[in-house]
Amino acid sequence: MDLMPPIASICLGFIFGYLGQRARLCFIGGMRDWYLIRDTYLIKGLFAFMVAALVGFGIFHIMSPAIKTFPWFINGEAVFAKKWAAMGIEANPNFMLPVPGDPITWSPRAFAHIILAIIGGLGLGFFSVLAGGCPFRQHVMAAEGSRSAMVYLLGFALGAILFHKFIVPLVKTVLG
Amino acid sequence: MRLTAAVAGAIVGFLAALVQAFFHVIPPPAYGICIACHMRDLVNWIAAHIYPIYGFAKGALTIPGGPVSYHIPLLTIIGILIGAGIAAKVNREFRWKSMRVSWQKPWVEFFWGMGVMISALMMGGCPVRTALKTAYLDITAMVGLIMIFVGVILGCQLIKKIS
Amino acid sequence: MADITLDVCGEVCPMPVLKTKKALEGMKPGEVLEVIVDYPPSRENVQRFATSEGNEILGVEEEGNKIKILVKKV
Repeated sequence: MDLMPPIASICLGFIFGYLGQRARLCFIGGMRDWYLIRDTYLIKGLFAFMVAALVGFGIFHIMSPAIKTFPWFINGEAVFAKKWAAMGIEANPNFMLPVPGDPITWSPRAFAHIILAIIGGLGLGFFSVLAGGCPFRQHVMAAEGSRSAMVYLLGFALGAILFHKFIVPLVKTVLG
Repeated sequence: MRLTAAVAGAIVGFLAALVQAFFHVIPPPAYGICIACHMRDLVNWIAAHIYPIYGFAKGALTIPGGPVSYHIPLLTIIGILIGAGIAAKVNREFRWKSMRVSWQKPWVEFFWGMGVMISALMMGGCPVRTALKTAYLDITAMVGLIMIFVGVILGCQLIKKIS
Repeated sequence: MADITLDVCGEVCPMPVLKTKKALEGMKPGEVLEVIVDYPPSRENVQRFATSEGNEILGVEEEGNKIKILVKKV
């Protein structure tokens, strides 16, 4: 049993939580502040995150076998081709297919993935702004003692069960 | 260097790439940090291992999660709560409080939490992971990031109207 | 000393900054606005917002849990 992922993830979570509390990191807050009052303090955090991750992936692409699929729109197609051969699906991977994670993961129709991304993205932005921040910020606020954020966490956890019991079969039948 | 949001973001971004490269957080690529997905993995593990002990229907609550979390889940969420809690205690910013604004009262926040989790899982990640996937150069994730921005604009319009 | 007092205790971003922006728009140059917050990030946001528009921060005082910011419109 490989113990390295949980230990590494709890350390990363600790650093993330500590830095996020001190520096008031919030990704949705960055977009909201930029739109409402043209304030760029938080959105610089978002861009710094993306640039640093990009640089990190670029460097580790050479050093480690785990990031061989790095520019996903170039190297990801091999992953799909292999999986589809194992699953018996005949299709040609194109460069728009996303990194696995959404409910119809191995579907060859890129259009379906994009529809899910659009609907999910709109809901995510809208509900996060009403709640007062991105999910990360709500976790930090719950650790600071805010009762509203603790109830948010409860809804967050129960939403996962609701999603997988009711919504995934719906999505699978509609978008195949 | 003062700890601004840009510095914190850069450190965390680099570490997320590092964790995937050298610490085996791999079967889904770009999985180093994700708040929604790791929460789902944690709930899944609790439902599969602890809940059945009490004799309820075994396995009725399990949900498919990320492959790296089947035996022991990724504990990012617990790390975040502990880290932020220690940061707040050390700097004396910890206080029990409850929000006063009408659409942020506790019982309404419950539904915002559900809405965010459902939208995030439909999209394949939370905002943090979408930014990571965009850095991994995944085109659908870039579309997703732009749609999150559009959603934020809609939410801001609503807030401006009712405040 | 303050002409208008704005109490936003218990409200989390973006409300303090939005209300400060609306209040500052309705004031004449030279008037002083006092904002009372009780959440440290709100204090930083209000300070950053006021100075970015060119206004002057006359003082920041902490009273127990609350923080008072005096902003003079320029």
